[in-house]
Amino acid sequence: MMRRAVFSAVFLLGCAKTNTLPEPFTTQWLSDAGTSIAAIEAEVRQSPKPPSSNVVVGVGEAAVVGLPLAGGQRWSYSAVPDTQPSIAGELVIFSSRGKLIALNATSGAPLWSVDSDGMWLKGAADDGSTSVATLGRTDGRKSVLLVVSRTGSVVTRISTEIALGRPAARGGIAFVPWAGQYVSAIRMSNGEEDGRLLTRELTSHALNSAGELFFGEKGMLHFDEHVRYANTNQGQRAMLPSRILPGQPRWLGPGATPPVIDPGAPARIRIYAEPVWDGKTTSFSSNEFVATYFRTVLGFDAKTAELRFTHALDTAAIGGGAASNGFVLCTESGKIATFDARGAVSAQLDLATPLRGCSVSAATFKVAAGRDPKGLAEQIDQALGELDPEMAAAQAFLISELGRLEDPIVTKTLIQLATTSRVGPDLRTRARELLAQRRSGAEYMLQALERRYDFLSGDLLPPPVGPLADALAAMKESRAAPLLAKHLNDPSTSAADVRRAAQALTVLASPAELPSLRTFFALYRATADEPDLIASVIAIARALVRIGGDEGKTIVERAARDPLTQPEIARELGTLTAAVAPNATASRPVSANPK
Amino acid sequence: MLRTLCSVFCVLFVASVSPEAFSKESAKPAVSRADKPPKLELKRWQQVLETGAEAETLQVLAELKALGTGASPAAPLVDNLLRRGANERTLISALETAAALAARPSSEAIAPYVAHRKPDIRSAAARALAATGGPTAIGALRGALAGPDPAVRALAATGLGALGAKDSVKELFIVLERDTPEAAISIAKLCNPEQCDQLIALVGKIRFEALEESFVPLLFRPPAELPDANKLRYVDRLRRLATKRAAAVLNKALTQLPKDQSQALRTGLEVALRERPVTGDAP
Repeated sequence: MMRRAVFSAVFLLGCAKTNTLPEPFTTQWLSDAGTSIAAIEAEVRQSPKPPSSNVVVGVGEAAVVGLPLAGGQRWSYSAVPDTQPSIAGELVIFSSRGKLIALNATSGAPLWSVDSDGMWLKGAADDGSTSVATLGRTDGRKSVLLVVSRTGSVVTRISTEIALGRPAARGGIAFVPWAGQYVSAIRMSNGEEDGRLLTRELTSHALNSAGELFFGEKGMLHFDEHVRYANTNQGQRAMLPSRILPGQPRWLGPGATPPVIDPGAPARIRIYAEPVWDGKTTSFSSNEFVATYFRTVLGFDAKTAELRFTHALDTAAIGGGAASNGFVLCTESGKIATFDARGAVSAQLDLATPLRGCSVSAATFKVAAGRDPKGLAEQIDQALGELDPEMAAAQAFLISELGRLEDPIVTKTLIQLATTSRVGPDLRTRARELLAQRRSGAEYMLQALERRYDFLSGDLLPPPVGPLADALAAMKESRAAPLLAKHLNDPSTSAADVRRAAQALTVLASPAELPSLRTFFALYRATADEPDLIASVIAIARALVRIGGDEGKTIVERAARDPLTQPEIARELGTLTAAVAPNATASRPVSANPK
Repeated sequence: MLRTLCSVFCVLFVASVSPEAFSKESAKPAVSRADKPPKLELKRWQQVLETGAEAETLQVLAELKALGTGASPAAPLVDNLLRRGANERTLISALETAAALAARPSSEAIAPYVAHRKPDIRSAAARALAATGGPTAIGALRGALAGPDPAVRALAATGLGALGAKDSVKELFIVLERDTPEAAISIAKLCNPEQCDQLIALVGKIRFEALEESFVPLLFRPPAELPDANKLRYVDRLRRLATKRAAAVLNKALTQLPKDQSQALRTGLEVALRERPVTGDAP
């Protein structure tokens, strides 16, 4: 208590010779308006950037396996990690059964092993000569900060009730986020807290990306001379755009929680992105981020969140990272897929073992350009073709994305989706909705209307006549008229679709369709007993009056007077015939042979 | 002489095994066979059918139906009613009347109704087409085979058999293998020797019940259309099944075998019923 009071007094009076706090992670700290962290930033700026390695590290059933992305031998180390391994510069660090173990990231050679006190690794970093790790338990009640030299001696060990986040390191300083808003700068040689950053956004991760440091969780603040203003939200920061994505994936997640090896959905529903610093602003590598939903890969513009590319993997993605110009994803089958920034598959690597977890460090890795990717519409089509109905959330998202594209090929895909059992009924309905709104791809629509239900050929799903009728009528596509007229008289066309076809024919029908319209009118003017059919008959009556000349008017007039005509229809026909000029032939019987 | 006898027998037999609704003969009421020609009231019928209320219309349709083919001059009046449309009860009555009048030109007016959305109407239309016949009826019934209604597919399959639509055998095979057993009898009536072999080859591949009714008409096909050698193979195929149902089929064929059929077939059936091979070497 006394110590705390003395500290506060000294701090407030500004009489301290250094910025060192009396104890690390103290909650009695008062904001220094960025002074201490600015001093640390100035110090660290002079130090060399920490090294990094481009490597994929997988967690198999009983081994940690690694593969350098730039080429090199696959390595394996027998161990069962407690949590996801951290790739800390040139080291791979993980906790396993009471030990914190470091391996050479390129070769897998063991470097050191220290006691972890039964705690699980949260995250680790390395400045090129010294490593720092935060450990904790899933209950979050206690954390340990360990600083370990390259020889494996524990330089600093700090135990605290504070839930520490994922650290970064540079120039002998460990940067440790905690309490969601602080980053303590811990001098690794003595464990003293020489500076503290107060941010105004959620911060539980400190990242080292290509030698640059970033702090945050949902957004990322670059560690530069502006960092002193972070407490007033003026730092150089970047944030991924907000968008509702399948499964609501998260990017980094809470850093104060140990990254358990998750056998369930959260590990398979993730966002991967890498903050970058161009000397002036913070942004994201390739200006893209990738979201995964099990087997589905979705690449987005990091500013607008517009979909840029998509793929369907063979098995679910369980880890990944952004490269300097693309992405690296590992799947639960042990395959590693690299994509360039256009979404083209660049290479397929293999860890040759099924994986429970996977970590990727690829911030400085240059992905070789893949073959020119297909257009986005075709990519979506292909992905939808490769996804199972159980990927319904991803399918729904991709179908909605299709609707945003103008490419005529989208129309073809939507037609297929509207009539396939490959997707569930909800998605077929969504595809129909989007199809009705299309204003391109008329040729595909006409081809689809050529199809009919055919028990003999096994073509048992009729085309989406209703949505096609809406779209073609809006496009004033008169070539659709004879096709729609045929579907009018096809009992496999749903009544709702018949109604939409009839409405379209009021606009599109020509005298050539008169026989089909006359037949429909005769068949249903007195037998229609559901709203869709009643509306259809009335619509066709309008079309008959418009295109049928005297004969058409006579048919409608006579039906209006016929007591057998369905009453609602008769009423509407009466209104309709009253609106047209009196016809001299009205009392004549309908032609005995109208064909 | 033999051919004539066979034809007569076949007609009689087919009439006996087919549902009544599909036989042109059965569609003709007994009245039409009366010696006295019916009195035709075309003017009254026309007036009622064009302007009458529902009850009057139904009454006239009933009169026409009772007169049968004798009232066929009135068929255009019924056709006109169908072309104008009416409510469900009137339409069904009109379709039944058209079937009774059995005028081939009526098929044009009936055909659209085989694709009506009301099941009872399309079934009545399919029956009517089987009675009126002609290329239009055959075309509409072949179209109905491809339609979504199993009941209409069954009626169409039977109707095509009744109308001798040999070109439809390929489609009939497709619907037979997709749960339309009615197609089997029609195939048996229409098939050429190769197609008949194809029908028998389905034994053991689809339910026996689906084929059962087709075997007797197949065996009773005139020898000119289906040689004895084929029939004896079919008899042996049934014998080798060694089931009670197969034996019942063989027994029915033997007891009903027309006199114009060959002695070889009769002997084959007898031997088969004694469970001996009929196409192999001598026992």
